[in-house]
Amino acid sequence: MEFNTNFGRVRLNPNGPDADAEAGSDAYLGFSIVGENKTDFSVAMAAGVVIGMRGRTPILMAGAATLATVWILTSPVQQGLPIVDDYFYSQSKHNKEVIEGLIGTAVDHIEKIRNNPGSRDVNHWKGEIKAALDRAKNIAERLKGKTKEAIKEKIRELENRAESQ
Amino acid sequence: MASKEFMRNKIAAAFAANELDSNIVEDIAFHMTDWKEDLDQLVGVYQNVDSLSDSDIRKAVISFLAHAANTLRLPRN
Repeated sequence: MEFNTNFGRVRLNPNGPDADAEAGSDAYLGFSIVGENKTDFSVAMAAGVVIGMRGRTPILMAGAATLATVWILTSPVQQGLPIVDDYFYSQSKHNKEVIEGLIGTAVDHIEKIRNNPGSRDVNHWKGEIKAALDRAKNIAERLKGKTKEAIKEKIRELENRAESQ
Repeated sequence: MASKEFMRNKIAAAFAANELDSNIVEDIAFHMTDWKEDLDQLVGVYQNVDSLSDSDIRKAVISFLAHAANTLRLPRN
């Protein structure tokens, strides 16, 4: 018996899973992936496990089949869905590159002040640093998680460096 | 291309000829030359666009815009 799944075409072992086979092997699992078609992996998985119930701890196997089905149906990865929306990822990547550009502008001007502390342009450069870092902070608010915190920390560090000059 | 300092003086003189306030003239001359390095990078994109990677192109454009956007907002302030 074969099914189309998210991972390819699955062929069920008519004898069901073999508990004595090597863990993780096709024989142990009771099925093998043989093709490229994609539908519902959970159906094949559950069917394979149910077939394996014959003569073996049926309650345990039925429980395993239920858990496997629920896990597969509720996991975006197992369903072949992206964890994060592509558009969001794209925007996030772009925002990070814009922030890198703004931070680069700030760093360039911090270096200009460091190399020319007596220049008539110091106040202008400080203005450029503040403008770039303020905009970087605004864009950083659109990011999430550790990346956001790491970038905000970097911005704070640059603000401190600029103020100390 | 002329040096940044030379361009700055020429731009300042050009706007001073309009009898603008000297601080405004200085601001214009400063900002229109402070981004020269970023502008050079952007010109590099125009001249070598076929041989640059997507990443190189994005980096040059973003560097220019990151610097220029602040300058372009100044006339409103």
